[in-house]
Amino acid sequence: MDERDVARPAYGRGYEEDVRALEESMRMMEDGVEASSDVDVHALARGMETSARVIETCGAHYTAWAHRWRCAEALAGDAGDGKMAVLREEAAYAARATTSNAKNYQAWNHARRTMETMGDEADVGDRARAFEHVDAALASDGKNIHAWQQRAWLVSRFNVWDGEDAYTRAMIAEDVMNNSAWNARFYWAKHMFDRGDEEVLDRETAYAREALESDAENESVWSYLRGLRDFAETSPAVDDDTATRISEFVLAVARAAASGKSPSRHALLVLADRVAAEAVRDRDLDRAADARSLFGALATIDPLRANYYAVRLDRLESALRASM
Amino acid sequence: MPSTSASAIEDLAATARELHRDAFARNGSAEPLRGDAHAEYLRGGLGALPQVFVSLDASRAWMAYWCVHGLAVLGRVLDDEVRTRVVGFLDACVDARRGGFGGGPGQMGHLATTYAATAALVTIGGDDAREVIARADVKRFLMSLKEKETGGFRVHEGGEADARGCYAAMASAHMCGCLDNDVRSGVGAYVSRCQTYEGGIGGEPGGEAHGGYTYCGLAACALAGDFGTLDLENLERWLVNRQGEIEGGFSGRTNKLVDGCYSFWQGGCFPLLRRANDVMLLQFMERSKMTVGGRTVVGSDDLGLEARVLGACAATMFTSGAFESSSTPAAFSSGALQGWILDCCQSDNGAGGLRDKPGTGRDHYHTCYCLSGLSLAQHHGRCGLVEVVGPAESNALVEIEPLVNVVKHKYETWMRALT
Ligand SMILES: [Zn+2]
Repeated sequence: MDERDVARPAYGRGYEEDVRALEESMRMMEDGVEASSDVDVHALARGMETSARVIETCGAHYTAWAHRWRCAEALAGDAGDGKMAVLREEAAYAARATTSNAKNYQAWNHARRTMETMGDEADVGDRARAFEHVDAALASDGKNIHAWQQRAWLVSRFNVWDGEDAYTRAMIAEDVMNNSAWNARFYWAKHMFDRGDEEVLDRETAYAREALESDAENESVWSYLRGLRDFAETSPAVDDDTATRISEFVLAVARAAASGKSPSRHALLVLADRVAAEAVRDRDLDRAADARSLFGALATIDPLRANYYAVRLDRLESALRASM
Repeated sequence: MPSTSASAIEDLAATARELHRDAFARNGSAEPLRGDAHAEYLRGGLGALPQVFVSLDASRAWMAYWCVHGLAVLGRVLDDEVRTRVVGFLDACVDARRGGFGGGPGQMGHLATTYAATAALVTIGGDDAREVIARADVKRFLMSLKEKETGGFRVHEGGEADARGCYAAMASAHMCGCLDNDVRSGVGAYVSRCQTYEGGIGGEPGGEAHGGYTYCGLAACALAGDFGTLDLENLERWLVNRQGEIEGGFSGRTNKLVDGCYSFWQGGCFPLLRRANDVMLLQFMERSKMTVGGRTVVGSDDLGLEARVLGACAATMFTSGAFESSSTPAAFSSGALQGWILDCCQSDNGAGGLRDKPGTGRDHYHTCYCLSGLSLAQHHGRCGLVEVVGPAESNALVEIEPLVNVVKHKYETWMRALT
């Protein structure tokens, strides 16, 4: 056995030659770059084909992807009016690769780079195809993290937020526990606020409360509520009245869900957090006693996380000692 | 009608409950760890592989790390011949033009495989392993991938930039002895922009909080000595909620299924957070001051909670001062995590290798991270104590350093010789 055989897969027919050809093509290009001499168009086209053959066998071969991109970029740069055609072919190539493996980092990066390079020259059709690529992946797996990240990037790069309300709402209607959709919706809501929609925080906290009706323990919704509340409380752009209103609304939702025979642990924690914070803010020992009993209740109904509640209480005691 | 997520989560919980019950009936505890079988499986990963592994042809340096590290966590020693061969292989992975390590010989340097190769070399140790690393070349490589405007790193020339890139750069630089201000500047700010409202960290700004990115982001900040504006309390709450009540393992994202590899990615964050305890205390005090509005009309009484719920813990667990002892628990349940890995992640029918979850096949990646997670739960569940679930003679593992996921004593030996 040779050192070159460590973790070495058996290569099927042709792959070994493809890899050698890729290495050769890379060397030619890199030497050319160092000598500042242009690589001819045919060599670039061959480099792209060679890369594609390697990728066909090993989709995660990032070296082949990087080389393909480098060749495509050089070809696009040389093509004058043909630039967009080269880039469109690369976008289509990345979309095809994603169809066979939707979790391939390289294919998503390739798609991203084509859109980056098109920049403002991307027309309506280019953008629509980029969204189709993402939507196809999300249609087969509504939580594909690569596709969601691509979508977030496209939305913000091309400033096309208007479809995000309906899109995330539909995804949530399909599966109220789809946290990826809640995440995308949060950034949409924040954008709407930044754009001057002052009521979005009220509308969205109400929307979240409705979503809790089907499942009061849905953590995605509690995170969403907390996120909106934290944004309201800490963002200098939110006026005091709004901050107080949102904060009280979230507390009221939590209080309703934390009462009775089977209190929601997420709701109880929202309250415990608040009471602990008030104890420190107001240096109030009675509040601290309330916080203690709430963390105690949490440890009882959620014993798996008893250590966490103990850590939280320990932090509260330390904060009180430090601020008294 | 239950949503698609809800029914999948219920199914996995039911399977896990059954496996836990069977294991307890057989052993009076969790399953014993089948260390010999796992070691044999990992040794196999260091040799020639069948053609299906061609999909991992750009991840061979990773494969070397998963196997070398997994064996070290199991306390197994590599044969001299294998050891020399792996060092030679990693040397052949160096991308001389760019300075980092590629996924295999002839491939372009990649940050992730640079981390993997370095961590494997640290684990192997010795002069020949040291000689593979050229500190100046690694630094040149890292700087060539740094994005000056954002503080982030591309994972390879022309590749994507994300929280993984930051971690691989920080950890490689740390172990190669080139973690200086050029390399670290801006990392805390970049990672902070990736933290989501949920508290976990996403791959890039706007992305969803995810276990792999969360570990990478947090550990990158810890290595850089710069937490930026990360909200660590929010991060901690998101983390503890990832542990599945019945399964005992961790999920990668909110409302997703528990998966063995997150035993390390999520579990590894807890010891890092504990080291940042003082920062968290300050953040809590700061945040308390920003709480708006008056005193909330809410206390234990007006919620109408049953006395049973309220009384039980307050008296016993929360007596003042109980948590200042040296055996402070970490914020997760170490016992439940160990149970998940032992009962649910070992291959069926006594075969070697560990897996994502029951019903999925084993692989070297999950074997590495399940074992790393098990070691972490044993050594970092409670400060200053080792707690092993199941029979210690089969289950006790070697301690890892959670910052870099390398066996602790090998990491310490390496770092001592570095200066
Ligand atoms: Zn996994």
